[in-house]
Amino acid sequence: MLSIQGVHSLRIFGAESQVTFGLALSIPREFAPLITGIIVAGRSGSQLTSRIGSMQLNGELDALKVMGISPIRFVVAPALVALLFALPILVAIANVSAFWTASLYIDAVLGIAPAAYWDDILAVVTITDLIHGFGKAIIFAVLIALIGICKGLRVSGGADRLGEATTSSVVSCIAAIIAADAMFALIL
Amino acid sequence: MPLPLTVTNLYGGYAGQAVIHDCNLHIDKHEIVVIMGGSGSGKSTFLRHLIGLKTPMQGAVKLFGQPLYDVGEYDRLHLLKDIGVAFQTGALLSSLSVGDNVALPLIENTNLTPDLIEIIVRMKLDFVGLLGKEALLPSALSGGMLKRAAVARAIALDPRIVFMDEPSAGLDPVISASLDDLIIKLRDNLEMSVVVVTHELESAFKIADRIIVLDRGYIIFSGSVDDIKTSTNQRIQNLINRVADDDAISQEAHLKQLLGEA
Repeated sequence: MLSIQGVHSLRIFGAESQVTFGLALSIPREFAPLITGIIVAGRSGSQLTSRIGSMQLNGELDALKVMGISPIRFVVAPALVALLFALPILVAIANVSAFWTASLYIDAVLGIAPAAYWDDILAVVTITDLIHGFGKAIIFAVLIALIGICKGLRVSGGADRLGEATTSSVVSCIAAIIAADAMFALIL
Repeated sequence: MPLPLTVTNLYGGYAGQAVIHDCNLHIDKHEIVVIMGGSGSGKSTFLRHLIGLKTPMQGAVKLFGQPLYDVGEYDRLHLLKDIGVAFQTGALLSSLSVGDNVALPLIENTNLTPDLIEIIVRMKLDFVGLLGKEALLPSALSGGMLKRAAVARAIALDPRIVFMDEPSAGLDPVISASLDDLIIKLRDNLEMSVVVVTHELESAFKIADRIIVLDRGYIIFSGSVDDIKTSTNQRIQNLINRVADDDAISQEAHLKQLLGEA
């Protein structure tokens, strides 16, 4: 989408061949972590809230406590650690797939060969850009885990509350990710 | 040797509102104590205080002479390893098989080898009549089987005291009677103390060494099955004769209520 919009906009100035620089500057720092964070919030944030909320309603968390097992260690910590590992990996996959699909489009529309395209991309993208993106991914992972877990732990009543909590969790996760992304953009 | 459970001047409730008032209780070794009471009498809240899930507003709960609440989280979790709890819904972890549920406290709290844990799991499931059901998920079990599996998990660590919340609730009389037999086996064969919260009179009379009656958060009776049957306390008679409190008022009082004089 970014390459399509980029080519369309830059064509006004006759600078569509420069679209690769725009992609190189925006995908690893901004779009890959943001879009991945939003997708994971929708998938894993909701799943975390739903799972922990359902455990709460079924008394499974109470059962863990009376067995002398800390729910924080048994349920919360694995989810947090999994997200801390998974999100940066997903961001790396998002980077590669975004650049790769953009290369196909640019080759077809502008006739820029993939080799030349990758040369331009690699000349612009720095390690700092990648670290910036992965840093965001880690922050987003923490936000998704904390919001998903807290919303799940606060579920009480019945199944209707679980549905409400799950919806609320997704909305809160996405809002928190966008807010954190804006903070990143302002500070770094 | 300290008693398995001692409760002293316990007050507890929700949001600063006391639901349990000045309750005192002790459980002896190898004793089945049934806590009874009508809906809203505070039975479940009382039980949550006994098993470490709800901090009292006032008073003390001691397990084996050790305070359950005035200690850190680590010490409390350590103390809870000596008790077993079978919840009303079973509360088995839905993502684990029955065998894994029973194995969980052993894996988490002991250094036993996987082979030994497997044998213990089969022994516990055999004890509750579920041998061969290790691989099933909780969702594949019937209500009675779920309760039995919950008992198997509760006794996995050979606790000295087992708490059971409404073990007969929602079960047919035959399954309910078999669970009563299982509770008696816990006392007689495994020498455990058992605390059962129930409102099933027949079950309570069959299994109890001692019955505690909670009414509006107060313990109003503690005694044997024979004692409760001969009690002259009106509220206890209402409970065992299944008479609603509203029906129990006299005709004169009812008339006064209608006339607005009460």
